[in-house]
Amino acid sequence: MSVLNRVDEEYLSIIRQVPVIDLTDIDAARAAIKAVFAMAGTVEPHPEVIRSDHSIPNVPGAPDARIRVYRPRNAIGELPGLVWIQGGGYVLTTANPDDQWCERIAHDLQCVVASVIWRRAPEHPFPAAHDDCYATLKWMIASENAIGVNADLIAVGGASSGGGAAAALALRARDEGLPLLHQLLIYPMLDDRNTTRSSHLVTDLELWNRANNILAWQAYLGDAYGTDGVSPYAAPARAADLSGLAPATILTGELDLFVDENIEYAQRLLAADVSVEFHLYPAVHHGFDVHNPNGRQAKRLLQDRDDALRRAYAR
Amino acid sequence: MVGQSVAKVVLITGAATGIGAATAREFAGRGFIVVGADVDAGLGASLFAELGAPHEFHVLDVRDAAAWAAIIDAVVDRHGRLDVLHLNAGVMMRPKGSPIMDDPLDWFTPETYAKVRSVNLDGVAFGIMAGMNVQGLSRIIVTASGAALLPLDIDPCYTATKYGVLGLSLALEKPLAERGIRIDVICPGAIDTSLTAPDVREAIRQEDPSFIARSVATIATSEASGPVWMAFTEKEGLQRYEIPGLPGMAGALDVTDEA
Repeated sequence: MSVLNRVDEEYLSIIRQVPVIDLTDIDAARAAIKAVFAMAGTVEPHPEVIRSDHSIPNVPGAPDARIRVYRPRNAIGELPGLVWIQGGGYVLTTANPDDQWCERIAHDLQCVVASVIWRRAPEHPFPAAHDDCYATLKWMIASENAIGVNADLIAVGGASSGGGAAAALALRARDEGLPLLHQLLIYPMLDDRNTTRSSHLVTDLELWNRANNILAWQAYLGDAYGTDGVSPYAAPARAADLSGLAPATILTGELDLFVDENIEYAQRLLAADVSVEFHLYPAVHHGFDVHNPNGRQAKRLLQDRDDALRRAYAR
Repeated sequence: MVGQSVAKVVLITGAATGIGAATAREFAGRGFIVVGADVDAGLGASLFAELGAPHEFHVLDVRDAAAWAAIIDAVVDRHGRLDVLHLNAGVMMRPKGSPIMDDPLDWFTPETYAKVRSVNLDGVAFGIMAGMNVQGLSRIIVTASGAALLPLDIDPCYTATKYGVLGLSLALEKPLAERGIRIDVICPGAIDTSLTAPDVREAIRQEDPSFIARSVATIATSEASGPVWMAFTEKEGLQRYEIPGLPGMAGALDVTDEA
């Protein structure tokens, strides 16, 4: 079913201009994503934010995880932290691990952000990206002195597959007894089963659609796809027990194919006595704020993102 | 990179072996970027290959003031910062691996004296001189010894230099504090490293160098005030050393008309 005619007009012209992402040809899709970013032009690094790239210890046998860390230049002392996981369906990445997004958060919220340059599928299926994220959280906790982070004020966040990875990291942190302050889930990719109403709803080629979603899950899960052996650390919707998780903020769009699994996860978190903040933006699709950050709903998402982190950091 | 590393940077001398190597591992594990320096290129390169990027190893002879200026420039150039300086390189009168239970006066020669003094005392002084002008350097930690507090008959040169670095560091405490640099001195006891003589290693209990490494990292990352620390046994742990005053000294330097 086409939902394009229901999408807020503030996003329609950009949707029509960007290259179509089609995961049946992953190399072409990766080139298309690069083209999308190239359309945005190069942006100068934020003058008030310092950034550096690090290779950090990972699970035994895995290569060092690669991360980019951002800190407000003139802030002294201990700051709150955020492990940020960019989206891309677990398959698509560029050289830029959401630099502008992370710089903006680091600067406006006065926190240290570590963006995970996760290993992508299908070359590196689950648990590669998950391990990279877990390594980053552990590194941030261990490095509190080196990077000036208060280990009691570390949140995790992500968008799309990054949101799924963030929810998975929250599960993992709970299971491993690691402190985690908050999980910020932006239209998260939570459920490999694709049985919800909204997962069937979105088929437009210009949008993140059902076909791409299935191909992405297949790439990420490899042979486990379609079996009962899928780990909750890959697909958090499969976690049986959501009790004891870090408080959550979930932001999603009405026409996002993930909307139903996002609502369901929010409801299940509430039932498990986890504190939840939930926002559903009208007439917008998956990734709308990336397409037009100046759109009305996009500005609301960015504001809600900042407010949620401020509330978590108690600032 | 926008000129400056987010993670703090620590420079450790004598990093190829012993306490320095253990400290390198400890700081790396705590997220610091570690720059290790030593005259032993082979062992140094091998350890830092294991630690991996962004940690790096440089060959450095601490007796060479020009080499100190060069390594500081290289670190600041590369990482945009230097936060902690661990002045740890040290030697004894006898070569590593020599038994120690012989006549110390056999070793008490101008050459040996100069070697020990230049590494242990000059090396620390030159390190402080090179580091003290780095914008943002906040900590200097000097590895002294129990022999800075109580003389070791078996090694008078080593003892002299350890008393020396303690005095140097204490005299520099206030001037460096004016620049925002805190200097601490750690005095380890007998530690299980290649610097400890083989017959000593047979005869007495030594602590694992990781105990000193953790102590150095603790000093570097906490606000608890030193400036002198004892780290003799893991069991007793890291302890602050209270510098004894001299009786009757109060007012002795006041030059007044009543004197």
